[in-house]
Amino acid sequence: MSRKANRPARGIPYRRNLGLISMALPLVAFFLLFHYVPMLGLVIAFKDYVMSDGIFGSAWVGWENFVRLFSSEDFPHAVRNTLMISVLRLVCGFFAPVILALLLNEVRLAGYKRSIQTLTYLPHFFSWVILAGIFLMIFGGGGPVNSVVKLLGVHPVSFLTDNVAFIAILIVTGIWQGAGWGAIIYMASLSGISPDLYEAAVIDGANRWKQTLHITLPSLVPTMITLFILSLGGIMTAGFDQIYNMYNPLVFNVADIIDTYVLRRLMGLDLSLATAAGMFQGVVGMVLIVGANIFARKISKGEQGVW
Amino acid sequence: MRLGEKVFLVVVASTLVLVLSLIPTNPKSQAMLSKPSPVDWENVKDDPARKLHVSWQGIINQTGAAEGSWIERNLEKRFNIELAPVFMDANAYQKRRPLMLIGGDVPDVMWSGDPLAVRANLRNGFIMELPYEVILKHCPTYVKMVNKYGKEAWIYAQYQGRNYGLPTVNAGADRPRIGCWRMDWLRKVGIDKVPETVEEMHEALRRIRYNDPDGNGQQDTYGWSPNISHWSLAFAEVFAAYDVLPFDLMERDGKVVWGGLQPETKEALRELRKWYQEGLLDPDFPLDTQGRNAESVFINGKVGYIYPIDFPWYYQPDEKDSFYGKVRGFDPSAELVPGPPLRDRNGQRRGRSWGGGAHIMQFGKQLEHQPGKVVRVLKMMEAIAGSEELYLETRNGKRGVHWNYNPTADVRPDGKTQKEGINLLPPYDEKNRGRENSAELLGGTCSFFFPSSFEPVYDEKFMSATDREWLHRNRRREWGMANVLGKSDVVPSSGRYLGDLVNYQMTTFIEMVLGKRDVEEFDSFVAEWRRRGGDVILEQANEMSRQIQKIYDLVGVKKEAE
Repeated sequence: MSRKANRPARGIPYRRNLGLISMALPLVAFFLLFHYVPMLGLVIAFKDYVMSDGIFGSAWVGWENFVRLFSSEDFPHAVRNTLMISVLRLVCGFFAPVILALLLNEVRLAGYKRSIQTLTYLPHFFSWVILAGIFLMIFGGGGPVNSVVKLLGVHPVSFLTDNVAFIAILIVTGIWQGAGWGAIIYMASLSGISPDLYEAAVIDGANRWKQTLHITLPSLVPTMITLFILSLGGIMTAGFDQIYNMYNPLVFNVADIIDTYVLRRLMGLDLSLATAAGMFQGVVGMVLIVGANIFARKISKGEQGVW
Repeated sequence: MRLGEKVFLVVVASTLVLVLSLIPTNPKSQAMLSKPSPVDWENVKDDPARKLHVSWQGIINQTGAAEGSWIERNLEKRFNIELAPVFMDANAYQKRRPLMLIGGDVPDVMWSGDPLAVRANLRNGFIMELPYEVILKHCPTYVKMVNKYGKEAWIYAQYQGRNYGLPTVNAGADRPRIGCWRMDWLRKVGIDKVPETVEEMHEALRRIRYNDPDGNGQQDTYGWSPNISHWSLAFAEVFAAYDVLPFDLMERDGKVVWGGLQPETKEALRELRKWYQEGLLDPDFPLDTQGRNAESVFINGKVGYIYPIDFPWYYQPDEKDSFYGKVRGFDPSAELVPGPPLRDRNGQRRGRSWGGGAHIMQFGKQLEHQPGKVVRVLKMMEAIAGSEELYLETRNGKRGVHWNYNPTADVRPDGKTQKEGINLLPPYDEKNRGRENSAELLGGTCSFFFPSSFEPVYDEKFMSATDREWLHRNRRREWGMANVLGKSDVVPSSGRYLGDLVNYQMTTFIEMVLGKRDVEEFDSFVAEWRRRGGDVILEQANEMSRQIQKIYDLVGVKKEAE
C-alpha cells in the first residue's frame, strides 16, 4: 500500500468514486424529482388555488387556509385523534419488535427460529384492504370472538362500534402487523454484538437474564433511539390504510385522522385546504424529528442520534 | 452541535421566517368572480357546412367503450362534427379527471354529476357561461322536456345569478326506490302479503327474526341489514313512511327545511330504535360502509329484507347472474318479491326518489373563442330530444342492426330466446359488446352523447309490457318524494359544511338506533346541526328556492298544481 493512500483525503475523491457516484445518481434524481420538486407546490397552501391560473398565477391569500382549517369543526378534531392514536401506537407498540427480537434471539433451533420469523413478518406484506375485511369479520357480531363471548353467557359485544374497543383493536392489530417486520432491524443489530461480551459475562457468572439485561439491551439502545426518532416523524400520520379500511360512522369521532380529512378535501377539489393540512402535518413531523434528535444528542453528549 | 450546524440551522430558520412573513396577505379571495360571458351570443353564427371538432367527456360508467362506435359515427355524420370521446369510469372521474384538467386538457363538453362539481369547475376556470337565453333559443324542445321531467335541474349549474351548463334529466329516476322481501320466508312465518305499513314491516321483521323462517331450528336470522353506505339509502324507506327525507331539503309551510331536523324524523328514529332493541336488525350493519354486507347477508339467507332492489332485471329467477338468481344459488326454494313503498299515516305510499333532474353538461372555457361549437352541440341536443328515431339511435344504436323490439318473448331462428321488449342483436348481445358501442339498454343510466332519459316520451313504448306493468305496480311516479331543490349541494356553502354535517347526522342517527345515544336527545342534535353550519345552509337554501322561481319563469316552467 502506498503512502499516499494512507493520508487522509482532502475533499471527496470524486474521480476514484465515479462508479459509486454514477450508481447513486438515479436515486438522487428520484428524490429531487419526486420529493423535492413537488415541495414547491406547497405554496398553494398560501394561495387560493385556481387550477386554470396555475400554481404561480393563483392569488395569494396569506394564512387564510390555515385559519379556515383551525376554525373548522373537523380539523382540530382530526389532529387530536391523530395524536392520540399515534402516541398510543408508540407507547404500546414501540417495544413489541424489541421483545420479539429478544425472544427470537434466544431460540436456538435455527429452522424453528426462521419459520417463526417468517410467520411474524408475513402480515407486513398483506394489504389493509384484506386485513380489514378479516378483522371486521373476526370482531363482528357473528364472528369467532363474539361466539366465545356468547359461550361465556355474556351478550355479544359490538367491539368495532365502541370508541375505546375500536382504538384498542386498531392498535393491537397494528402491532400484530408491524412487529415482525420491525424486529428484523433489531435482529440485525443483535447479530452484531460481539460474542466476547457474552463469554466474559458467562465467566463472571451471569445467567441468561443478566446477560440480556446488561449486554443485549444496552447494545440495542442506539438502534432503538434511531427508530424512536424516526417514528416521531410519523406521529402526525396515524396509519391511513388501516383506519380508512376499518372505520365506520360510529367511531368517526375518534378515528377521523388528518389523512382521512385531507382525502375528503381532495375529493372536493379543495386543493389549497388539503395542502395546508398536509403542510401542517409535515412541519410538525419535521420539528419533532429535529427536536428529538437534538435532545438525543444532548443527553448522550453527542454519541446518539440519527445525524 | 458543532458551530457549522448551528449557523446552518439559524440560516434555515431565519430564511423560513423571512419567507413566511413575506407571504402577501390578501384575505379577499377573488377567484370565485362571476364575470359576464365575453361571447356576443346574438351574433354567433354556426355554419352547418363547417366541420367542427369537439372533445366530449360524457357520462361516466362507460367502461370498455371505445372511440368510433356506430352511435358516434352516426352523430358525426348528421351534425358534421368530429367527436373525440373521453371515457371514464367513476374511479377515473374522481382521480384522473382533476389531473387531466390541471394539465390544461379541458374537454369541449364535460359531464358532471352534481352542482358541487360544477362550482369546482367554475372556480378553477374550466367552464364558460351558458346563459339561459342561449339554451332557450337553440333548444326549445329540450327545454320543454327539462321543464316537464326535472325542472329542479335548472338550478344545478347556476352560480350568483349566472348559468354555467345545460341541465339533463332522467325521467326514470323520479320513481321511488324500493326494497325486496323473501316471500317464501314471509309465508313460512304466517304472512301472505308483502308488508304495506310500518307496523306490518315491524311484524314481518319480528317473525323473520324469531320464528325460524329458514327452518334450521336455530334463531340465526335477522329481519334486515340496513344499508348505510350512502346517506340516500340509510333507513330511507322507513323515514319515507313518516313523510320525511332526513338527508334532503324539504318544503314545509312554504319554507325550505332540512328533513333530518323534523319531528317526524325523531318519531321514525324511535321506531327504529325499538326494532334494534328487539334484535330485528343485523348488529353488524354499522360496519358495512361499502354496502357489501347488506347484500351478502340477504343472498346467503341470513336476513329476509333488503333495500334497494328496484329494477325488474334483478327479479329474474332463471338468470344465474341476476340478484334473484344469486339468492336461488344458495337456496333453490327462495322466492323474491318487490316491496313497494310503505304507506304513511294517511295510507299514501311514499318512497324516496332522486327526482327527474339529473346532471349537468358544461362547455370548456376555451369555447368562448369558438362559440359556434356550443351552438352546434345545442342544436344536436335539440334534434335528439325532438326525434324518437335519433333518440333511440343515440341510446341503443340502429334498429334492426343493433337491437330489435319484440312485443312478446319468443325463440329466434338461431335457437336463442328473445326477451320481451328491446333485445340487442348478435353480435352486440355478447356481454360488454353493447357497452363498447356506447349503447345502454333502456331503463338504465342515460347514454353517453345524450345523458338524458325521456322515459314517458320514448322509452315506455319500447319497454316490455311486463316491465311497464312491474314499474306501475311497484314504483309509481306519484309515490316518489324528492329533494325540493333536486340536490342539496346547489346551496353555495354546501362544499364547506354539508359533507361534515351529513357525516355527523349519520353517526348520530346510527348511535340513536343502537342506543348509544338517547333518541330523546334529538333536540340537542338539532341545535348542534344548526350550529355547525346548518343555519347557513338553510338560509341559503331558502334564497335558492326564491331564485329558482325566477329561473322557472324565465325558462317557462308552467305553474302546475302540485
